Amino acid sequence: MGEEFAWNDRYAGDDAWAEWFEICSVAGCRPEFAARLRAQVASALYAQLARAGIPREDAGGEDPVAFFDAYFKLKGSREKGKPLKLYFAHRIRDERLDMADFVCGTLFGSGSGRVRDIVLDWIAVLKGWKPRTVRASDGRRRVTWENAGGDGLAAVEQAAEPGSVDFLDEAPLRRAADGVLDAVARRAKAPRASVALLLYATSHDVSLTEPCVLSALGAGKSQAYALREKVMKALEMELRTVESADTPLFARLLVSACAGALSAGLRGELGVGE
Amino acid sequence: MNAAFLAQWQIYRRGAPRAALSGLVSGTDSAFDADVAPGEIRVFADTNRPLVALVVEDRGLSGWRIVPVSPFCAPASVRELVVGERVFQLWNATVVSRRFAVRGWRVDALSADALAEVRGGIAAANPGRLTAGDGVQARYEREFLVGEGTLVPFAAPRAADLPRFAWLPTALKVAASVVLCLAAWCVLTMDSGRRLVRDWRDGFRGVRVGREDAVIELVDARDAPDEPEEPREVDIDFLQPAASWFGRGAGPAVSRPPRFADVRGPRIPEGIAKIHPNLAGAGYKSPAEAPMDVVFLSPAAPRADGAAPAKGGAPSYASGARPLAAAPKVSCRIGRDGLSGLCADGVLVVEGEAAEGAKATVTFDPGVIAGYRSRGVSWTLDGRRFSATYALAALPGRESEIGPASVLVTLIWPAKGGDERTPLVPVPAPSP
Repeated sequence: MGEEFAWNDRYAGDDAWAEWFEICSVAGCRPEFAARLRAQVASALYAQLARAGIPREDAGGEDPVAFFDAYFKLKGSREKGKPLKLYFAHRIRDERLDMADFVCGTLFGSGSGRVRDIVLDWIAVLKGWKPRTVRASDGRRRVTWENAGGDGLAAVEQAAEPGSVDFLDEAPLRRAADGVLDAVARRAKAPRASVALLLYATSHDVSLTEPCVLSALGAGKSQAYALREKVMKALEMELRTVESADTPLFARLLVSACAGALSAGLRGELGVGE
Repeated sequence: MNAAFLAQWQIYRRGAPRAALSGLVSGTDSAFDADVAPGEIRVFADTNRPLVALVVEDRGLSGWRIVPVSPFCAPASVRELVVGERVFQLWNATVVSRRFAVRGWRVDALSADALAEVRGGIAAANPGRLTAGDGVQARYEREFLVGEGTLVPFAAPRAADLPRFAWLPTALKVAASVVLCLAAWCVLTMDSGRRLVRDWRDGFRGVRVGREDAVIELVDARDAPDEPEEPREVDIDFLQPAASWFGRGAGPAVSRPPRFADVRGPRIPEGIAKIHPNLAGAGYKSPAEAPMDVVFLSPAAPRADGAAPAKGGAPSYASGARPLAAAPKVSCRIGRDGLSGLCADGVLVVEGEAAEGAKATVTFDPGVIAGYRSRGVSWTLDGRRFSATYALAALPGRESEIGPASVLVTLIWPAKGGDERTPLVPVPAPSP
């Protein structure tokens, strides 16, 4: 079937992509990954079938892995460049990675609904139904199946869970973030507000030459860049003493502390949200 | 918890541990979909794992607010929202920088209604807050929480967070240690290695120079980068024992024996220096450089028998001297510099009666005496009685040790069977 679609494959003749298609299908996957990928594909596809209200028996003798492979190879490339492929190509070129690094990464981690796409296609093949997304009366969107009749309609339900969630106590980390901000200000011998602004601007890639930034710092361009250099070095030293400094949660809290130290006017100019 | 999510989560956890999703410093450029607009679902280039997210809102200079798309096909909790084919992690909503958002590709777009639905649900989901505990929900949220801005972490990831490569730093250290040990073993066991060590050891040599170059310094013979040729070892006969020259190129030409370094004598009191300006420290010899002094015990005088006259201080004194029948009578005494006006730490006086041709050698212990100088020899009118005086300067702190043990006086005179010597002229201990 692959040759049938080769004529409109924009990547035809590209050895790298040919290899990618091979190793990202279960059949072409390297032995050390093949078993894991097979299990992932089968389970994910059966789970999707179940969510769609189709029991495993209805799949009959169809092999989900074979379907996955066929789908992947047939529809893996199109006339239009696929974003995920572009991402992989960029990372491979940027970091000189091996194509095999992305084995199994496509299935989980892409977030682009590949498994769901495959399952919906599979159901269409199995049942002859056509998936369609509609908005229900409660405002939520559901997948419905044309040609399926009244029975067997399946809907993707929102998770049912108690409303109250027990959140992690962030107070110690917030105190640590505030402490880091104070310590960096002391170490860099700069006002706390300036340090907060520089850290916020750096984390959000805001140019220091923005008038509002220079105005708030009360410095020229070269002074601002020199101060940022000093602040970032001080921050690097201070973060060595904080246990969870490398976690995204601490990064968020530190940026939040920085944003909190900015004046209301500056927050508005920078677009800092509540 | 949603059963479908739990099933997929268990499958996901069966795989090898993966590094947390984080931003990367922008590298090369690609054909990005540069125009960002709210409602777009984009995959971003500068992350270590694919991050697909919905662009929700323009935040001006701060960037764009995004809501990541779950990699799973079912929502994990009420803090996630299913819209169309995708599950949006409302709890993971964050603001990314404009540059980060631009460097990506458009995947899909939501309708205005769907976008409004997502926007409306964000606040209630408490974005940025994580579920407490160690359950599946908490672990899932910790695993997929993204940072803010460029998503590049401020701090370097700790080793515990990089399970795949946690062994790498240790392995590198071990490998480096092994390589260093092997290199050291090779250097120390090979002939060139021994020579290298020897050259290094001998590269530092004390050099004593004359007064006009009166700087004593350590010379590192290895520091001669301007001359690329191989170092050569050249023997130079300064004096016995021979000294060796280690360095690049030929050694310096030697046309005269090296001069002895002057030794700084005792400090002369200002009052005495005014009266006797010639005392000002000059003339001291180091016993290490000139271990012995010779005193001729009789003045030079023309002789009737034709023998060559002995000249004071000249080595040809005994060429024609007649043998002596008896040994010279010599005595020594050593004492402090009291009223002598020599301004020395000690004074050695050798005196006695001797016929022509006799001499005395005076040797000093260089461990005690830093320098000595002769204050001259005087003879009586008959030419037989003499007196020689030496001013002695002690090494700092060893003035009290100047005594019989630090001075050796030997007599030599011509006899019929050849020169005779007395092994020692006793030097009495100084009187207190």
